[in-house]
Amino acid sequence: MIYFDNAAATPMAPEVLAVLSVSFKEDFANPSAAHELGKNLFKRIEKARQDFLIWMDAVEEYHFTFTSSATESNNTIIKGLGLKADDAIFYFKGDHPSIVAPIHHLHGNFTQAFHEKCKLAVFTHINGQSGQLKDVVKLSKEIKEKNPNCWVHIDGVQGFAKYPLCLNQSTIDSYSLSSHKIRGPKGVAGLYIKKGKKISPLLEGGGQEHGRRASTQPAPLIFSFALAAELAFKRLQENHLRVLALNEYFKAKLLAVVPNVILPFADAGPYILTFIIPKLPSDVMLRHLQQNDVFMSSSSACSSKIKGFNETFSALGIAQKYHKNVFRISFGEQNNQGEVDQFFNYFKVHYKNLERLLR
Amino acid sequence: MYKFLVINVDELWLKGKNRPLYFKALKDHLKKVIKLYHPEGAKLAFDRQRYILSMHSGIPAGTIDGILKIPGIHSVNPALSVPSQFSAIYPVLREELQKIVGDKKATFKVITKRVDKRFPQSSMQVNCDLGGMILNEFPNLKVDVHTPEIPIHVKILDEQIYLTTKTLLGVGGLPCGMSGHLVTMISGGFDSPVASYLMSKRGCKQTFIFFYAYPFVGDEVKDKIIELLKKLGQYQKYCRLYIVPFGELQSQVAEACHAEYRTVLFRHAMVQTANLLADTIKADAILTGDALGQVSSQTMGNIALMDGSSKRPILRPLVGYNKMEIINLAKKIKTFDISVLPHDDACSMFAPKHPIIRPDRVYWQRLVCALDLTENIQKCLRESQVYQINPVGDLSQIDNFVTNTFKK
Repeated sequence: MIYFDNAAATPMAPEVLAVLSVSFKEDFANPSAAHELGKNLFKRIEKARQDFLIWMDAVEEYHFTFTSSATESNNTIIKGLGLKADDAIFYFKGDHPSIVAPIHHLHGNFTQAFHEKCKLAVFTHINGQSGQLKDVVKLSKEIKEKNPNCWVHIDGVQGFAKYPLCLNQSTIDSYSLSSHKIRGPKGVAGLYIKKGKKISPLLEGGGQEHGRRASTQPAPLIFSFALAAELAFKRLQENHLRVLALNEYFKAKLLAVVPNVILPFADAGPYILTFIIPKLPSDVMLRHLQQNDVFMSSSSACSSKIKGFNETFSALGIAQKYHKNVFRISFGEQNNQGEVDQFFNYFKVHYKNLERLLR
Repeated sequence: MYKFLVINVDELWLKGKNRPLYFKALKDHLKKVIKLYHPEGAKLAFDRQRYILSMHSGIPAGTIDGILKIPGIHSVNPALSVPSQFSAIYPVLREELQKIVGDKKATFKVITKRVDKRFPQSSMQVNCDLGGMILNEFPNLKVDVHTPEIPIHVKILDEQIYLTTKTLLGVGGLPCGMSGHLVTMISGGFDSPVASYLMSKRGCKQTFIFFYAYPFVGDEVKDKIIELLKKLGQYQKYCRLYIVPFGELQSQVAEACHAEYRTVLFRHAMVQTANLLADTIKADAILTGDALGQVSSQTMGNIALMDGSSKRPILRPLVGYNKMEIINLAKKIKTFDISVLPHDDACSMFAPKHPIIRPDRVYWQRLVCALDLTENIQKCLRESQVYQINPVGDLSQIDNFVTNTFKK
């Protein structure tokens, strides 16, 4: 199998899977229980929490909360700020639906241009479709200069543990991330919130997660998530360079096969590569490749059912006539050059056939 | 819920000496449908050219809906039953009227049909006597002989008298299978499901064939077909759906001709495949949703080409229908909401900029003579997925016996 859809989900790292299966068997106790089994789990969860703070250089100034998904993390901020219906919110239409949908649900006075009355500003660290990187520390500073009371939230799902970022001394108020994008399990995610800042919890109950998110903590998921993050941070530099080389290699091969390919995001990071082949419906190619056990994406997985017009593409500046022709390759640190070669062995044949048939 | 259902037949009356065959087919279909709704069984009697379904626990609305979709049934009446004597009628009728009208104002008319001529009172006499009794006791009811709000039907049959105020219309037509067996070419659009419905009414057993151009189209279109068959299967007495993998053949065909002939040549390949399937399942004709001039492959010239390539007649019940007429029927049979969902269509994907409208017959003859698709078509049929749909609309995948017919 050749899997190039790592921005949607990654295969679990073998070490992570090993920890997860042992932990599911052994760590069944409730971390809030008064007995030793529970207390030990509680301690290990607190240790993992501390690690997450260390990796992002956030120990002094931030809390870290385990959640069930980045969607939950984003919702926690947007709904927990206690905004009023007419409070202005600044965001970008090309952001993930877990940001756009709750903002629209608030019937907020949302805006695509920041102004001083905005109460919340949301930025995406790495856009999941385009792979474009934002200097969120700098942007956050600029926002605070205009309005110190504006909350700055960063959706860090595609950037976490892939791009270096120090939270301490930044003016970022919150940062969300997810486990299954960094070879951890699904069903667990996280949220950094600056100390001293008030967010009403989405879930109230037994006071877990220091009162910031009630629910029995899934200890096995948290431990394996922590291991996945540890591995990713340890290899951050190395992974980045390898994936960059892979990306360049892929692009060169692609240009050789499809000379008229459009690469709309020249400034994208290495993990995500979006390209357009005019007149070639990307889902048709997707299905041809999947018969060879090759997987990629024709648009962001959450919106790939929408035909014809795509809001995210449009926000990213892709003309509507190309919306059916958008391909997204997203690499993982486990991918290698041999897979790219194999990919093009298949791709070349399908491309030649389809080009002849569909012209 | 009523304990009796009077089931009236439609055009079976018009038949002469072979009328029993039609009744037999209808009864068989009725029994199969009733069995699906009530596996524990229900009594189905035959009384003077009508069927009477009776159930002690009452006949649920779902069962009645299912029965109304059986071709050959004109209408049904949920009914009360009384012994065959005049004095038995009124007490039951009074109770029923109290239940359905109470004190509300309404108009009525008694319509008696004395099928059993041994019954002492004439139809007119029963009408007058019952009408008088009702007027005496219900001051809120008035007679209206032209458009009564409550038509009270009194059906005097051999065994029993049935009282009913409600008539529900069925699809009518002829019993399933009595007019032959069709291979129905179905797509995800509006037309072919409507064409299928029309020919179900005319008593045609159908086997459905869907040309699945994966990987050029996605599986959402296959899901649509399955949803459509859940509706269309309710007008059939157990039918089958062949999902034929067509992607490979379609790309071969696309390269075999001038681009402007692609769409017609696809259609040609589909008609050939439908005919080959018809050979193995002993079907008599092919059914399509063509409407004259609707798209380029449905021009008179191209229809003629298709008829020329088919060894069986091609039925086109929608040939004279406008799109809105088709859509209205699609709404009526509830396929509209399924057909309207967007899906990729392989034909439009391969479609040339200028499809041929007036084909050159000489070129066409040379083309189809040179193009022997038999082996490829056999392969497609061999690799088909086959589903059976029961009259309730449940699908189950079954073995593809065509595989044996076309063994390599």
